[in-house]
Amino acid sequence: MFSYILKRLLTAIPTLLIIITIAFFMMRIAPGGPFDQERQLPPEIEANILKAYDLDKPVHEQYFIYLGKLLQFDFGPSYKFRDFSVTELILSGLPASFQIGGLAILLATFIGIGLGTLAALYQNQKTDYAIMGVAMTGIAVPNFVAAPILSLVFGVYLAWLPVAGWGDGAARNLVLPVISLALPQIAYIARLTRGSMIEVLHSNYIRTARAKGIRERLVVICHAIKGALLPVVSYLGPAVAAVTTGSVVIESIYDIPGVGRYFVNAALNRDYPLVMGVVIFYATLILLMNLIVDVVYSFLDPKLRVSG
Amino acid sequence: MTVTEQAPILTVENLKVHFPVDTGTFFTKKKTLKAVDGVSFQLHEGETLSVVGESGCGKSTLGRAVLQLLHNTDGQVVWMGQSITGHSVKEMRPLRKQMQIIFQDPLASLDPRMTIGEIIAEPLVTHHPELAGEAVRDRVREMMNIVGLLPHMINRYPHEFSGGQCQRIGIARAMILQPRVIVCDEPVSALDVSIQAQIINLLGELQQKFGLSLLFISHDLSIVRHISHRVMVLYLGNVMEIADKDDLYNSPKHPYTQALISAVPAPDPAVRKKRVVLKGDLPSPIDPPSGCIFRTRCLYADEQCSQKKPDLVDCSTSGLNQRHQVACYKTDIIYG
Repeated sequence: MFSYILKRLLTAIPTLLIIITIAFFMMRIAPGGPFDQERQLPPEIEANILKAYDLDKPVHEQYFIYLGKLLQFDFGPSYKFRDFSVTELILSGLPASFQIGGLAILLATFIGIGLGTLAALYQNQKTDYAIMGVAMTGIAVPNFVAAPILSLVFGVYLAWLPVAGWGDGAARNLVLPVISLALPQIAYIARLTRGSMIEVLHSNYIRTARAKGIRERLVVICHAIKGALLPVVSYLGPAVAAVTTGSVVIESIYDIPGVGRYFVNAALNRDYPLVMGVVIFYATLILLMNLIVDVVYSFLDPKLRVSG
Repeated sequence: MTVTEQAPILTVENLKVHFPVDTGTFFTKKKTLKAVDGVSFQLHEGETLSVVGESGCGKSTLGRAVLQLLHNTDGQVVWMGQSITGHSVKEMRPLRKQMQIIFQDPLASLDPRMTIGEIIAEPLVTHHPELAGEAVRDRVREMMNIVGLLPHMINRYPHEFSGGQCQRIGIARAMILQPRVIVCDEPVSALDVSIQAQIINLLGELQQKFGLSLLFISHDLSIVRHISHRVMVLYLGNVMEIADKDDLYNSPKHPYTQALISAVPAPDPAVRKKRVVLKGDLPSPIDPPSGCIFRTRCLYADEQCSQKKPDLVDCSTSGLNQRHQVACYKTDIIYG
C-alpha cells in the first residue's frame, strides 16, 4: 500500500506539469495584459514595469523562468496586490475557506448519506418522495438564491444569527455560510446514496443476509452501506477539493475573507502569478483527494485491494 | 425409502403468490401475475422433494414463499404443525435456524466485502450470540472441513474462489446452524457439469449425515432423478404431477411430464428415444389460459380441458395412497 501511494504521488508530478503548462500558455493567449489600463501609461514606464516582471522576454523564456522559481516554491508576486506575494495571499485566505468548506462537507456527508439511506429503505413511499423532493429543490435552487434567503430569514426576521461577516470565525458567524454551502452537496450525496443503496439492497447477497435471519438494521449497516458508499466516495473526492477551496458566491454574500474570491478576480485582472498559484493549489488538492479516494476504495472493496 | 408415514415437517397448502403488474404507459391497468397459483405438498424428515419445470414457472418463487422471504397471497405454509403464513421478518428470525436456503448464483450471493470466515460465521453469531469467538471459529473450521474447504482459506474473500467453491461456502453457511430443511434454489445450474456432481453428492452426504430435508428446485431432470425421493412438476405456477421418483420417471401420467422426460438426453448415443415435442410457447402468467393451464400446448386437449381447471387426483398404482397425483382429465384416454 505504501509503495502504491508513493507511485501515485510520483505520477502526480507530470500531471501537475501538464496542468501548469496549459494554464500558463492559455493565460498568455488571452487578450489583454496585467497592466493595460484605460489611460495609456507613458511607454517608458510601461517598458520598465514589463521589464521588472520579465514580461518583455519571449513567452517560452518566461515559462522557464516561472518553472525555475516554482522549483524553489516561489510563486512570485501578485501583480494586482503589489505588496503581497501569491503565497501570502493564498495562505491568508485558506483558513477561512477550509473552515467553512470542511464543516460544510462533513455536514453534507453525514446528512446526505443518512437521508439517502432512509429514502432507499422506504423506496417509492412517502418518506422517499419527501426526501427526494427536498433534494431536488436543493439541487435546483442556486446558492446565490439560497444564501440571501437564509440570511434574510435567520439574520433579519428572526435575528438569531448575524446576517453576514466573519467575526474572526466565531461559531455564530459560521452557521449560515456552512449551511448554504452544504445544501446542494447534501442533495447530491442523498441522491447518489439512494441510487446505489437501492441497487445494493436488491443484490443477491443482501437476500442471503436476510435468509440468514439477520436483523434488518444490521443487514443495512453491515452488508449494504459499504457497497452503497462507493459512488459517494468517488463523488466526495473532487467535491471536498471544490468546497474547501471556497466559493466566490458564498464568500461575497457573507463577506468572508476566503480564497474563493481570488479565483475569479485574479483571472479578470490578468494577475498571471495569482492565477497560476490558484490553479496549482486547486490541481494539487484534486490530485490529493483522488488519491485518498482510491485508498478509501480499497478499504471498501477487497477486489480493488492492490498488492505491494 | 422410509420417509412415509410420519408427520410431515413442512406442509404447504394451496399456496398462491401473485404479483401486481402495471401494463401500459399512461393508462395503467392493474393486473396480477400468478407466479405460484395453488400449490400443495408435504415434505417429510430426511426427504428430498424436487420441484421441476421450465424457466418462469414459479419454482424459485415457490421456494422463497415457503421460507417467507416472499409473502404469499393466499394459502398456508405450516412448519411442524404451526402456521408461519404471513410471519413478519421478526417472527421468522428464530425459525431461520431451522430452515435455510442455498441460492442459484453462488458468487453473487456472498457479500463481496466479507471474508468467507465471516460469511460462514454470521448466522451462528446472529442466532447464538452467547458463543465465544474461539468456539465460533472452531465451528466455522469444522463446517469448512465438512463441505470440503481447506482451513487456511478462512480469511479469503469470495472473489478469490471458483463457482464450485463458492457454492460450498454457501452450503457451509446454510448448514452451520444445523437446519432441518434446506431449500436448494437451482444450486448447481451455474456450475460446470463435473462440479455439479461434486455439489450434488455433497448435498446427498449431508442429508444422510444430518437427516436433512431438501426442497430441491431444478430444471435438470437427470440431477433430479439422482437426488430426489419425490418429484413435483410445475407448469405456470400449477402442479401438474407429483409422484415418487421412480413412478414419475418410469410411468409419467401427465402429458407435460411425458414431454419433459422424453427431452432428457440419453447417455448412450445408440439409444433412440421417442421424443414428445411441445408446440408453441409458454403462455403469459399474466393471462393464463382458461381451464387446464397446459391445454394450449397439449396433444390431447379438447373442449373439456378449457372449461375447468383439473384437480390433482390420485392415480397411484402401488398400495400406498396419495403417492402419485396428477392434474389431467385425459389420463384415461392417454392410457386407453
